[in-house]
Amino acid sequence: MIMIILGMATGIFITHYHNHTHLDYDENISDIQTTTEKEIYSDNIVIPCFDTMVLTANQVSQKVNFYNPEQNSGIDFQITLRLNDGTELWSSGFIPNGKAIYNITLNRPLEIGNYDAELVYQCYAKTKSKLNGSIVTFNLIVNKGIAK
Amino acid sequence: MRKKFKLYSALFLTSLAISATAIRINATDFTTTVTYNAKSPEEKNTYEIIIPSTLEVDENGGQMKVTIADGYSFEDDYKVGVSIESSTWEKYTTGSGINEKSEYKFKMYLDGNKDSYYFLQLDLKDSSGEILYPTSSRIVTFCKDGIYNENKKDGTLILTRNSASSDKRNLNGGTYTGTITFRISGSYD
Repeated sequence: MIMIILGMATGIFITHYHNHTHLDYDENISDIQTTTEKEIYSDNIVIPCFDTMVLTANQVSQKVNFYNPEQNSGIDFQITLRLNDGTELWSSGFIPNGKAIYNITLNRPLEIGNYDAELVYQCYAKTKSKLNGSIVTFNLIVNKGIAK
Repeated sequence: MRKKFKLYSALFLTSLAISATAIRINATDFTTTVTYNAKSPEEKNTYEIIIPSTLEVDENGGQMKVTIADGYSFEDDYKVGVSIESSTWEKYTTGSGINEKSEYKFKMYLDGNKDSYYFLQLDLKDSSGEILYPTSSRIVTFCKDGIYNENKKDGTLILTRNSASSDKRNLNGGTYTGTITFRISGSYD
C-alpha cells in the first residue's frame, strides 16, 4: 500500500515538473531591429512653377517668393536659381515643407534685360536620401525696379 | 390769410430748393467704381506640378504619373510641357566597329553605390508606349483646359526592364535606387 502511494506521488511530481519548466526570459533579449531606417514622407511632391520672374537690375539683394508647399510632408527642398547657360545666381540650404524664402542675395548683379533661367528643385527625405526632382524653366525679366 | 399762404408757399419752395440741392450734392457720391486687377508678369501662369517622390519598382519595372494641381490658371495660348531631364539617363556604348552605337538607359544602383557592377536597367516609356530619349522625352502637355492631346500622352511614365539589365541570378540583395528629374517648361503657341 505504501509503495503504491509513493509511486503515485512520484508520478504526479514528474508530470508536474515536465508540464511547468522553470526557464525564465533570456536577459539578452531586445526589440527586433529593422535593417533600414523607416523614412516617412509624402508620396508626391508639389513643385511650384511660374512663367516669369522679375528682379531688379544692378543689385544683388532681391525679393522673391520661393516656397516648399505644406503638402510636401517630410520632404526638404534645396533650390538653385541659374541662367540656362549654367551660370548659378543663387542657391539655398534645405527648406522644409511649409516654409518660404522671400529675400535672397545673388552671386552677382544682373543688367537690364530678359534672360532664360531655371529654378532647380532638388528634393530630399529627412534622412537626406535623394528623391525625384524638377527643373522649371522660366523667363527672367530684369528691370530698373519701378516702385509700386 | 393770403399773406400767410404766400409765406408758407415761399418757405415750402425754399425748403424744396434746399432739399433738391442736398439730393444733388449727395447724388455725386453715388459713383460706381470699376476695377481691373491686371496681373503682374510674375503672377501670370503660376501653377503647381505634382510628381511622385519615389517609385516602387519590382524586377520588371513599374510606373508613375505626373499631374497638375487643381486651381491653376493659364492664358488661352499658354501650354506647359513636362519632360524627363537628360541627366536622368546614362549614356553607354554597345557593339563595336560599325555596329557601335550609343544608348541611353536608366540605371538603378545597388545601395547607391555607383561602382556596383550589378544594376537594374530600365527603358523609360510614355503612356503611348514610345521609348523616351534625352532628345525626345515629353510625357505630358498641360493647357488651359487640362491635358493637351490626352490620348497620346497623359503624364504616365513607364519603366520597363530591358534586355541589357543585369542577369537576375547575379543581382545582389539590397535596395536599388535611382531618381528622375523632370523638366517643366511653359511656352506660348
